[in-house]
Amino acid sequence: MNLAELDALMVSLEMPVRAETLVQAWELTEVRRPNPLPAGQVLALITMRAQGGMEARLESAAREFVEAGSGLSGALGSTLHRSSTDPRTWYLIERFATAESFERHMRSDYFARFQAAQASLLAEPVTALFLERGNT
Amino acid sequence: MVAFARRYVTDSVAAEDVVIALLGRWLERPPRVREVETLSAFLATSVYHESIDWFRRERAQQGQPPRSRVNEVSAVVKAPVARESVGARLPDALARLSPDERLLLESHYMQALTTEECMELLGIGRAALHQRLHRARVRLMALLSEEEAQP
Repeated sequence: MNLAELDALMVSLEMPVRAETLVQAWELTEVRRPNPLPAGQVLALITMRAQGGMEARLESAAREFVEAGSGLSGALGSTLHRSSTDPRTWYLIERFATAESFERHMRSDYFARFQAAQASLLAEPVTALFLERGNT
Repeated sequence: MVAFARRYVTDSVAAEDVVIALLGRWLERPPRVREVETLSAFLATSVYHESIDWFRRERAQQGQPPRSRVNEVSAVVKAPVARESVGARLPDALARLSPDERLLLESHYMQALTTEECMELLGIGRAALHQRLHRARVRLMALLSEEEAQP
């Protein structure tokens, strides 16, 4: 037998692995937990449902809103997502460094413009959820 | 458990499948773990074997041989040694190896631990690890050949 034959045999025979080795592997396994939301940050999930036929206009207005908000000091990111099961429903995830920056966001001109546009685009009022990141 | 399964299967989705399958079986037939001290060994071995089974099924579905995760070896075997006879002698040969030699071989052939983890556990660098792994392979080969030569 040579080393190449040994290697092939060991692979095909599936060399048994001792429990103590697996326990070492278990103990070395790093469980990656998400970092908790840093103190003071605001994370909001906004749900919007378009009137029938208004989906494209709602998307356009929402993208304009996201773009306008990206320049605000303290805005850490806004992303727009469309429901995969209901094409009329859009979700906006917004993150702000502080409650104060979130309040400035809500007092801004672009926020007022988007609110005004929503009246003719939405089938129902928006819902806003404020989220904390779980530790599990 | 998912993080541990992820070591031995291709992706996180597969790791979740492995753990879900295992938990489903345990719900049907609850396992008996009598001592808390043995819990991590029980979980580690259960998840490992479930992962290996998953790996076998995946390979079978793809029409591939059961296992050939050390890719470079299969093509160079010129005179295949009788698999069954070596398989029968393997437990005795493995028992004669040192714990460190077994650890290196388990990691090399079965990916039980990563190279970096072996280096950390054994307190050696990469070059020393490759040397010791080579020596362990040579020793195992000699043990199997020695037993083969015995009547």
